Amino acid sequence: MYNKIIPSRSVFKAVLLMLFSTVFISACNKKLDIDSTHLVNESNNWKSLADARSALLGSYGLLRAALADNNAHWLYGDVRMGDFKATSRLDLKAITENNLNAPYPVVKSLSNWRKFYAVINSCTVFIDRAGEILKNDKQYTEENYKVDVAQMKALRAFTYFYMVRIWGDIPLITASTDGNFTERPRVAGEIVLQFATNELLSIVNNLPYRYGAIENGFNQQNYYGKVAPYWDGILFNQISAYSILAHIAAWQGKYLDAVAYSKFVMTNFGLSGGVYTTTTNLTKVDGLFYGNNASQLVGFPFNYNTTEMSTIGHMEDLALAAPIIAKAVPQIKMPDDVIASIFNEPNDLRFRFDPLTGLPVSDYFSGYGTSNTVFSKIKCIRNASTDGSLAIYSSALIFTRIEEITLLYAESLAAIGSMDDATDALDIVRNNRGIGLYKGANAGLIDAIFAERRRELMGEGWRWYDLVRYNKLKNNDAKFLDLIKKGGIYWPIDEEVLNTNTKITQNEYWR
Amino acid sequence: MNEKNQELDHYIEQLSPVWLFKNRPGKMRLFLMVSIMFTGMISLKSYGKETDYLSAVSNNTYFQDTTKKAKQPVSIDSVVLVSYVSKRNVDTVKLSNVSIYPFISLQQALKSNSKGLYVQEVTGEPGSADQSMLLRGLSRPLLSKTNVAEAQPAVFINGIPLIGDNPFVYTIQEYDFSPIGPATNLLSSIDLDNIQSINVISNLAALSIYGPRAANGAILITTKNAHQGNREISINSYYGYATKNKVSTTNGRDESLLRRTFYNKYATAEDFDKYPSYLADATNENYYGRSDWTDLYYKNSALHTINASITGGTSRSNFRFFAGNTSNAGNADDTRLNRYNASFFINVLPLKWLTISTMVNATRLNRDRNRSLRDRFAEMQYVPDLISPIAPNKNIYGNYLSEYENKTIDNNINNVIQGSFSANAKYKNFDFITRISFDYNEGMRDLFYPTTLMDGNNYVSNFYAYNQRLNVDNSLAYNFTLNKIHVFKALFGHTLSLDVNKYNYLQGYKGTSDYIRINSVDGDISHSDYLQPEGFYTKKFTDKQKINVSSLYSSFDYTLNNEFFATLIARTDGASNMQANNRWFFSPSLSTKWDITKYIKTQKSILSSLNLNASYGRLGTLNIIDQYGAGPQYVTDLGWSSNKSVGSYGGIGTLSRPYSSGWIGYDIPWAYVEELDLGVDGAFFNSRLQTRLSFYSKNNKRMILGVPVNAESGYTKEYKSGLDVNNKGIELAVSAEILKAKTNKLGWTTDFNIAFNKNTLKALPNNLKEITIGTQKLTVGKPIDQILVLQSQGVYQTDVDVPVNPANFQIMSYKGLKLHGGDPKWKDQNGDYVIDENDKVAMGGYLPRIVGNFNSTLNYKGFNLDFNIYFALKRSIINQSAANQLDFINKTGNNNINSVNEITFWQKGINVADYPIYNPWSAVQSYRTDQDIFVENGSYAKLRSVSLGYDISKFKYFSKSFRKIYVYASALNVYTLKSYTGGDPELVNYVGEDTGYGLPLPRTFTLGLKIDL
Repeated sequence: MYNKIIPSRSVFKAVLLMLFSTVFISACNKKLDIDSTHLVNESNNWKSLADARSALLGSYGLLRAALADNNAHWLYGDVRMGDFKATSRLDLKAITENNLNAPYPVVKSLSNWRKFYAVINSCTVFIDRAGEILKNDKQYTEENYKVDVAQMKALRAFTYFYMVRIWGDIPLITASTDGNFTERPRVAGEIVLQFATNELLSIVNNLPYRYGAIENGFNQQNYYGKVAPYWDGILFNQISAYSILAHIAAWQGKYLDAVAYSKFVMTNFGLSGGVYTTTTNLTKVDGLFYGNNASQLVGFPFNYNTTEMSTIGHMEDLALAAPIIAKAVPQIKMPDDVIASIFNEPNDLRFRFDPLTGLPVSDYFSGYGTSNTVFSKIKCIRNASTDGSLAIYSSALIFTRIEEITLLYAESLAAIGSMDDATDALDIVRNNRGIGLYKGANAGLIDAIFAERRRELMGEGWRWYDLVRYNKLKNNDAKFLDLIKKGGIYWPIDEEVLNTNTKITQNEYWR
Repeated sequence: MNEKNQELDHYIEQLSPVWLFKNRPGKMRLFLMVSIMFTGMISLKSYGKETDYLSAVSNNTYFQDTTKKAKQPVSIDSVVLVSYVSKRNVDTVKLSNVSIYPFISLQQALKSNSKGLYVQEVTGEPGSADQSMLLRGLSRPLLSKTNVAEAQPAVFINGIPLIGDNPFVYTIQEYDFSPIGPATNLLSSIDLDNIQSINVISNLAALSIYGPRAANGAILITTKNAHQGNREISINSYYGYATKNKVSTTNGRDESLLRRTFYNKYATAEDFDKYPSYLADATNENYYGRSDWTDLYYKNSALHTINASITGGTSRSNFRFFAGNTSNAGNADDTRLNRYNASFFINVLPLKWLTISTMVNATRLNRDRNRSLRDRFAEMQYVPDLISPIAPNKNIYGNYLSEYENKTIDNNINNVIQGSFSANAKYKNFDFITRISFDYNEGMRDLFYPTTLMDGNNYVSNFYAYNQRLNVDNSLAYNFTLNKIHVFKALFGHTLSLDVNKYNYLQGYKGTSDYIRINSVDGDISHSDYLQPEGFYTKKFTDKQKINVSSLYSSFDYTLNNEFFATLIARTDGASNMQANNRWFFSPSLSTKWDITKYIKTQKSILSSLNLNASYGRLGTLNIIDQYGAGPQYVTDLGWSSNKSVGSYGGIGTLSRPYSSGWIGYDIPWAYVEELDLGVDGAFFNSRLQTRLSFYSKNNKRMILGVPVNAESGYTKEYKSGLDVNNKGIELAVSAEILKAKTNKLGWTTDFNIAFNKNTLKALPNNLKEITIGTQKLTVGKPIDQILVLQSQGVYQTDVDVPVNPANFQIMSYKGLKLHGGDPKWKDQNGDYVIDENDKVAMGGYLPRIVGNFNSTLNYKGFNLDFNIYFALKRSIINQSAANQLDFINKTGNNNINSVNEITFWQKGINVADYPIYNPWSAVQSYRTDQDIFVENGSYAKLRSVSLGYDISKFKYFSKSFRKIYVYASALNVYTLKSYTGGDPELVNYVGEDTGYGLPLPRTFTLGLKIDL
């Protein structure tokens, strides 16, 4: 019956044509235009306030990643030729012994400056591009833009400073070079530091004391929709910028400038909300290091509630062990005799021997006197938990806090010969830690200041740089001075960096 | 993942009873229902009507399926691919040799049964996603698992291109041992008893009709289909065992003895102090006592399959239904894959000129995975303290396993469904086909580890993902014949293919108790933590990727005198993940065949036929991810070691340039492959000897490579087009009927395939001559899979033995680090007194240069004996497992994922006497794998399968009611011939490293029965 239904040729053709053409129309290029959901392409970025915020925080995040990667900040600062000794990790042992060309993956990664240059590029892209948002989004104000650019310049200057401390002479890149991979030579560290100083000075007044607070001296009482204390310890403020300036000056040996900058911080840090920290608060699970707070003058957060916490990227990962966490032996530990020699003054709240019983009392260490002394000053486990079975940490990376700046101030004053003022500054910290006023001779003041730094800033990534500045100031340790002279205080440059840039050669000392 | 786009999809409720295809988009469900109802209705209407129906399938191929096929069923799904596509240069797998064995995946089924196909299994764990195939060599360097995915051939079921798991999940993974989720090989969803034929195509000209997805080759699977005739019922079943491995175990004493050698020679007092506590105490019964863990680890495991099908109907409407269940087991660690299949086919001819077909092919896979520590820590992305391994004692290990059995949840489920609805209209010489088809699969993993498994921590994770491919095909064919000499066929077609890959993944750490195994959220809207997780510390991930491909193609077929054949195919393909100015790619291909039999004057009994083939093909290759299409871009890239997936700073989502993944610029053209192929097909002695010889030269061009850029740019690399790789090879297939099968006489047929392949790197982007990426070095003019190593010449006994450069009095160093006594005496090839990358020499490649197989079948009076030998020659293996045993100092010291000692740590491994005794504490890391002592010849030959069967239907009693009753016994993985000192030479990872983590490929015995009624 249906065999008879044979369509006429023209109908058939028409049907075919229709089918074909509908398919083609629908299938044309339109179907092939898909915006990816896991990235933002060039034409969709730099359009709104949110784009500025994402890019700004992205730059900070990149620096946090560079410092956290393989616990870099602490391996550079605390482990290299420091007071800690590696237990079973041979790569850490190599770092403690300054064998920095040992080809361990971690040591190689620490010799590679790429992650820091990602920050440089990211800041530079922001400085070059954020202006576009002003045209596209009215919500993005001129003032907001100014503050953002100032932060990016400060962050870039800080990153350069951090790199100069590690590698000495490094390439200086000040304009964004996306997609153009020209090789650049190294320039003298001094020039880089001068650039950083100039940049910081040019923008320091554009930075508020505190973000999202009335006292910041700006019109904006909230910053990206958040009010204080949200941004405390997360973003660089004016205090952060002056702290960095002080450090650059001190590293350069320009102690006169260092005095001025650190004095500014000492005078105004309260405006940012920062305070001097009690010893208890320093070592509490939810104290100074936990989360983000205003006393972290230059800090990087790893918060629990924002799921930014991590295992690697903390002193805890290196130093903690049983009984605080499940791990039996820490990766690094400080020998008991070294501890005793460092904390050599009575009544030190951080570590002391009870005069009656002779037993150690300490918030800095656990299990002193057993074979398993654990450096437990910083121990922010998850949400300030004391259950160490899941070793994920939320402690912030604090580059500097007011005690550190105070000691830098003391050091700078001592370096320029203002011994009384230096002693006063030193005593602020000493008093807070229960060891009373400095009663020694002026000749021993510099030693006393550095001894105090060694105690106070233990595990915060300072020891190595202190050693360098100390030896430059004292000028009496021939072996160390030789290291400084030959460039052995710098890290070797990873072969991956050397392979991709013909204009860069290995540091003389590591050839 | 970035906050900007992070509209977290409504997270599916986990651990609810898992519905089959619960998240399948409504559109598709509707389509399926409607299409089945529609065809069903027509089917009823036309039931019983008889008209002539002619089989349209033409076979001019030599190597055809030898399974019985009384009447080739017509499947119009594959009409596009069968009748209008030249089947020259297509190899057919002998299914009769494959379907009787307990192969669980397509890769396993094809491994020793096809020409020029190399299959890599990393583990014997049934259903593991770690299986890959390579046709005609290696098209690109394998730098990551994404590259492995990019090199895979396309698989079609009845013309439906299958979609697999997309490697984009690796971007959030710290360790890429296996992808997150069920990590099940989706190609294990195919039941071989439901398959009519499998064709493997490696010739590019023949591939070009299949489009850019098939640029690495294609595997065409045709299922058994509905066809007319009396009702046919088939039942297939086998039962068997995977037998356990016999291994020698070790205990603390053996390990201590091994270490003693090194301690006595090199250890300092301090090193002795750090002697691992579990080995230090020889009275510790757990470690120094019985080592009988193997009783619990290796087991004889039962496996089975059973399936049945029914086919029937008239020429105007017919159907087929298939259902089956298969359970495949490994012999170690209680691993298993369960598969449930159901397929349904309907063909209807409502009008004389119109055919409508519907197919639905659904599979559910349920996998019991291994219980290894490494995989568990990788899943948790957390490595605990690893100082002491699990004790080799059965009791201790048994306690550990009982925690797994009683408290752990590990559900791995995949649902796979393919379906199509097609209509075919024929009018005079026109033939129009329209088809909508889809492949949809979803993967789910619900996981809970109790506190008792790890230091008082529990862990929960839920994964849900789907992959979906929708195809709309339209094609119009036109035939005409001129003077009976010239035959023309023309085909025009268009295909629109829409892909979606999507996953949701949630991890929860440290729940409140082991009784709460679900990651629940606060459901009270008035609470401030509404929808916040309760109890667990959670991390959420979600990502989605869409890629659309639009293809226009045409094919012209010409036959002259039935002697000369030519096919010209031209196509243009557009992909959504290519940049707008480089979206389309045009590619032509031509293949010709000339039958010269009649020009050669020999006796017909000697030469039966002789054909010459020549073809040139070109095809664009698709990117399987969408990043390159966007050009310069902003992503979330804040991760660092062990915390790769952090995306926010200060609690707010961020965007930055893709510094760690690499810069992507503009003007990235289509990569493509072109191939020249020459061949001779000959049949001799009345076609009892058939040979096919082919030579090919295949160039993969303009591929994208991440080229390391100067670190001062901030980027790790720049993705640049311009990687060219050539693969040359010769393939020979010989099929001989040595003794012709006759009743009561011995019949003997053999097949022999051998393929030689050599790859060469032809060009690198930016005109570079060489490049080092990670541990691999690519040099133009050299193979891309070469293994470069330092040559070890013994050990420096003392410091003074280390040579000093007379030019500058520098002591010989390893990359600037002075060598000492106890360090390896590596050969300084360039004489600069610095041992570095320049002193490495090539030691073979990690892919075999020669692969092949030999298959032989003997028939006698209904008995059937079949065996198969598979070989891979000229290949090197890096024995990382041996290096790990010797490098115990670094391994335990580092406490990272590579330090994990599984229970198999207590299995007898290397003989220390075979290796030089270096100082394991040395900073040069003396037992590094990039030295010749760890590179071994990885050639092997395997007697892979043997079977003996008997066709009972020969008896008169049965032959009336049964078409066939075949009983058989089979053995798999019978014997391996190798020189490799480690384990199974097959079980290495994609870059040729034997990590020792692979579960064994078990020797399996089965008894089976095939009944056709």
